[in-house]
Amino acid sequence: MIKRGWATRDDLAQRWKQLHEERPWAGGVIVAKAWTDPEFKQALLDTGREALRELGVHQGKVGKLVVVENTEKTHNVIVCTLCSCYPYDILGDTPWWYKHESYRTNIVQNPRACVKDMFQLELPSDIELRVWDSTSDVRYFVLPQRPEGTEGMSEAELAKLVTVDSLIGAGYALEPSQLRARQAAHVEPEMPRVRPD
Amino acid sequence: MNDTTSKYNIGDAVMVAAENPNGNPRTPRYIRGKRGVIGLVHGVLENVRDHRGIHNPLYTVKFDLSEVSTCHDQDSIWVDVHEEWLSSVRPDS
Repeated sequence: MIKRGWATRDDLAQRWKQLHEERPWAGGVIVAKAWTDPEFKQALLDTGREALRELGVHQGKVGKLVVVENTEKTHNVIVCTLCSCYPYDILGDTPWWYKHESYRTNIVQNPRACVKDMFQLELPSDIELRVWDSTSDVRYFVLPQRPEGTEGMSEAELAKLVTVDSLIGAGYALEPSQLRARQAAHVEPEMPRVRPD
Repeated sequence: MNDTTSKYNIGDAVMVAAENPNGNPRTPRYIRGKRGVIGLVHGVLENVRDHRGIHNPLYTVKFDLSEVSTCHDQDSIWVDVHEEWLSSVRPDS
């Protein structure tokens, strides 16, 4: 590449540095900020990607970002029934089941049964379930609810409670006791790699 | 936001074309010929990372689950659909 003049040695060094830079996983950073800063949360829900600028996470460039909020009345789940659209440019790789045909079929045919069978989520009947089917130009993720017993925790601590599944609606953010149990069992936290543009 | 390029507004009742109207093919089969309501208006989006060209305005259309599947739970499916796939219908007609 250098010989052909496509890149300089400095370009390559820069790119290598970018790809190997250790950064906390953006999913945790974004959600923890939204849990602790109402203004940021509103901006995230209103403007999507634009709100990420101040956070120092990869903003990504693929499509429009829409963040949907889980509340006491609404549980959101994300799918791409056509393929596997996902804000991978911000959150990294998807879990394997996200691309699996059984998920992509069942989640829009019988969503309650699907989240119960696949993720052991039993949604109360008074919770409205919304399934978001992306077709490439809009990429979605879920803002999970802040777990109980997390008052006074720092953003860095809160970020550890955020799982990949909780951003798709396939789970909840961890409670502190669940995180402690995982740490005691030496379960490595999920840290998908994000490849910067 | 006053979006003059988009024909439909949030809350408008729409029907998805049954056949591809010679437009963007990325509309899932299970919503073709089905009725829904405009949930989000995105306007014209550029997505040069994914495909070439600029497509018509995009909407997120809310469907009752019972409209698109045999399941009768009171839940909803929200799907991104481009404008050429949609036509107006009278609400509850």
